[in-house]
Parts: sequence; structure tokens; C-alpha cells
Amino acid sequence: MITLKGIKKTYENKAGRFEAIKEVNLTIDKGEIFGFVGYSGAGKSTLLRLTNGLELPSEGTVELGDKVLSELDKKAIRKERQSIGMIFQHFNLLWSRTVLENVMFPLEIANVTKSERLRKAKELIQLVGLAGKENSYPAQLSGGEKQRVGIARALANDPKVLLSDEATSALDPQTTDEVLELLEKINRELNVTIILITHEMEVVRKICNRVAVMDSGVIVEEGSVLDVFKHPKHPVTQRFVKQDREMDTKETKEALKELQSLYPDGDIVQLLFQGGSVNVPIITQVSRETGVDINIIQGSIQSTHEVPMGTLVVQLLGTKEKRRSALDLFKTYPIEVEVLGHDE
Amino acid sequence: MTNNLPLIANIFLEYFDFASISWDRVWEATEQTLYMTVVSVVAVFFLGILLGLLLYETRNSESVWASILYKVVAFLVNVFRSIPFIILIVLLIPFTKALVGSMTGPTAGLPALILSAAPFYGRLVEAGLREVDKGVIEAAEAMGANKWEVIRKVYIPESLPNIIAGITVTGISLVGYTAMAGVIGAGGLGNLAFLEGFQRSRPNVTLVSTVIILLIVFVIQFIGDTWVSKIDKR
Repeated sequence: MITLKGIKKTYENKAGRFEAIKEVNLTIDKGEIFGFVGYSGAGKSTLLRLTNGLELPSEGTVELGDKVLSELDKKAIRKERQSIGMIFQHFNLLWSRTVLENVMFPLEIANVTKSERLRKAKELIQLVGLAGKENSYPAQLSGGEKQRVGIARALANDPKVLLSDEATSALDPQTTDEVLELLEKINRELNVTIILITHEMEVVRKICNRVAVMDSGVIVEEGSVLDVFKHPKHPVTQRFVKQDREMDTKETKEALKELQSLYPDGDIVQLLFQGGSVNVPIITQVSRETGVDINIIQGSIQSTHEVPMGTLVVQLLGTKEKRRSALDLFKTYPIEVEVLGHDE
Repeated sequence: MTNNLPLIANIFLEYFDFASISWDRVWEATEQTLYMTVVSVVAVFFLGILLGLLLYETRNSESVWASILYKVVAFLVNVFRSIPFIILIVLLIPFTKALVGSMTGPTAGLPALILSAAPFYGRLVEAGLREVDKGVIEAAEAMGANKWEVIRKVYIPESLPNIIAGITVTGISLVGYTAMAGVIGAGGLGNLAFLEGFQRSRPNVTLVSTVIILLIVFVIQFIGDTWVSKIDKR
């Protein structure tokens, strides 16, 4: 669907040369939700703008379906952009237009007739759940509502691809979830390929099928979201995955301290389950077979696009030998085991 | 002190002796002032927007020709903005004669009025355009809008409050300029105040001219403010 071949992007100005993208090769399939994650300056924003021709690569080609973007003239690129929607961190709505007029904007650019513009815009406003707000101005809307307008506007010309530039980064967690659900629905119902960039691993975990982790202009890790979350290889990826889990671990640390003082000879262990992969009562079995007592400190479920992932933090109580064999036994199951704290 | 009272009363009488004013001449002068103001405001509005767009578009362009164009336009703008108006009129007399065929009368005042106010307004428009959210421009470009569509559908509507507020300010200073042009011979209320009020020492005429000019200014301010608050949905 979208193929990036040998992409390099260098900016040159008086201050010198800056390599935003050093070398990127990637194929994004039709109908998937693909996430680019990375810190600011990693080149993900440039990469996103290369896919709709807002930026042109210094080297390499961008292929959209059977068209090579960099071979088209400016007019043809503009035409091509009409089939690529884009949403933004700061929504980028026209304050001078109502919700309805904002959604009609891309249709005006595409020279759609007035009656058809109205029909399409109303239908999309309905789809994103903003019925009744057609005549409001952006200034009268909340952040979440503004992004819904942004999404409706991006969908106006029935795009094959939707580009999302940090679309949830300016929103609170609750609203982020709502917007992500909407994006998922659009991907499912309208079969729109979604490419998103974010610095929040949570976003990737919740809706992406595949993810590419970017650092200093290169993709350092790429794969299915589940694989990357379970076995992050590159240090940058590990940091992102860890950050995502840290939301829960803050409380865990408190509990950890407390338990460590209560049970000075315990091991604190984190078990990571991938939904549906375990059909054995692990805790009971380990406890029974090795004779350790297992105290459950905390459990949480993180949903991914495909399956839920469960995290369980437990405390193992018993002699050192027993605890060791318990740990070994845990490792024989298809789960991830991580020792968070010992007490010697 | 008591001797001064009749003097003050006399001054008052001189100012408020409306009966001896020839109102026909006042209305004629008012019409001339309005004519000069309206025509120059309209011309300055369109010229200024063009200038503003030109300045904005060429300002940071990578093309060599655009940056040369920018430098030339910016230089001319700065020059015309800096010449004191009264000198500009005199400076333009040969040009005005060639263009209008006369150097007196309201129409003869127009070239100088427009030439001095358009650069000023052009700068205001440019500043207004620069305030338009770059993200919105990017969004329009991402939709496939071409340059002209971006200007017409994003830049102009999104900076309209600034454009209107700018023409209000410019319009008010144009009223002041028409008065100066009047002294040189363009007619209007400035001319009336100068010829009748000053040279014939009739402060009542000067007062009436002042009040009418103030009224015109207030009306322009009111229209501008109302318009801006009506369209500004930010």
C-alpha cells in the first residue's frame, strides 16, 4: 500500500546540514494501523509528511499504491493528497468556520458540489458523534470535540489513508481513549489505513497492529505491537515500554516498600501474561509444587489492539531454595517473569 | 478679572456664532472630505491587501527573485511610509497633474492619500497574515489546496479581524490626511477650516469643521469595531 524505499531527508540551511531521516525502508499494508513512536527529533514527523508529499525525500522513493509520489508534479501531488487525510496535535481547525464549514473545507478544495458537500459533512459529523454541533465554532468546543471535527474533516474526501500527527498528545487520558476508539472504529468500518506518530507508547499499545520505533532518523525496531511489547530489544524501545508500564508501577513501588518491610524475606516478582496463552492455574501450581506462599500485590490488564496483556505482581515467601525453584518453575510457562525486588 | 469676562464671552460668541456660517459650503466641504476618505479607503484596502500578501509571500521565500522583489517592495513601502504627508503631496504635484489633470480639488488629493496610506496598511496586513496559525496552513496544504486556495480560504478569512481593524485605523488617519490635503487645495473640511476659519479668523467655522471630522472618525471607529467583534469567533 505505502512503500518507503531508501528514504533519506536532509535539511540544509546556513546553520549547516541536518539529517532528519538517515535511512528508512518500510512497507505499510492496506487496512492496518501503523504506529511510529519516538522522542521529539527522532524524525517521525518528517517521515509522516513524506507520505503525503508535504515534504519530499532527498533520496529514495515514496510509493502510494502504484504511484511514485516523488515522480509526480506539484499539481498531481496535491490531487493525491486529497485521498490522504491528516489530523494534528493542535487540531488546526479554521476558527473562522463553523464545525460544518470546517468539515466541508476539503470538499471545497476537491471541487465537490455544494449539496454533496453538505450531505457528506453532515454524515461525517454524525459518524464522529458531533451531531447538533454543526453550527458551533471551534472556540466553543472542547479539545476532544475539536479533534473529532479534525477527524471528520480528514475523512471528507473518503481517504484511503489517514495520517495522525500526535493527535491525542494534547488531550487528557479519558478523551485520548475516546479519540483512539473513534480511530479504531474508522479503521474497522471504513477500512482506512491509519499511520500515526506519537511519543506515547500507550497509544501504540491500544490501537496499533504494527509499530516502528524511531531514534535519530532511523527505525531501530519494528514489528507487531505484541512482539515489541513483550520483547523490546533496542534500549529506546525498552525505555518506551517501561514508561508505559510505569503508570501502574508508581503505586506498585509504594506497595512494594510496605510489603518488603512486612515480609523481609520475600521476593517481589512481576509476571506478564499474554491473554489466552495460559490455560494453567500457574499460581496455585507453583505454590503447591514448590511449597512457597504466594501473595498477590497487584494485578492489571493492559489492552492492546489484538489481545489483552495481564501484569501480576506477586510476593514469594519461603526459604531461598524454595523461592529459587518457584522462579524456575514460573519460567517454564509461556509468561514473562521479572524479579522486581529481593530481600537478602 | 472682571475686565476679562467680556473678553471670554466674546471668544465664546466667536466660536458658537453658528448663524453666520454658510452651511452650504460646510456641506460641500463635508461631501468632499467623505468622497476623498471613501475612495482612498477603498483603494488602500485593496492595494494594501495586495501589498501585504506580496510582502508576506516574498519575505522568507527561497527564490532569489522573490527575495529581491521583497527587498524592493519593502524599501518603497518604508520610504513612502516615512515621508511626511504634507511633503508627499507637494512632491507628487507633477505626478498628480499628469494623472488627474489638475492639482486642486478632491480627486487631486487622492494619489497622495493612497500612496501614503497603502504602504502603511500593507504592513498591517502583512503583520496580520503572519499571525495566522501555521498549523492551519499546513492542514489546508495537506488537503491538497493550492497557493491561491490557501490565500483565499485560509489567510484572508483567518486574518480578517486584523485586516478590518487595520483598515479602521488607516481610515481614521486618512481622514486626518484629507484635512492636510485640503490645506494644499484638495477641498474638504480641512480646506474650509484653513481658508475660512484660519485665514478669515472665523473660529466658528473651524469648530464646525472639527466637530464634523470628529463625527466621521467616530463613525469609522464604530463601524470597524462592530464589524471586528461580529466576525471574530476566536
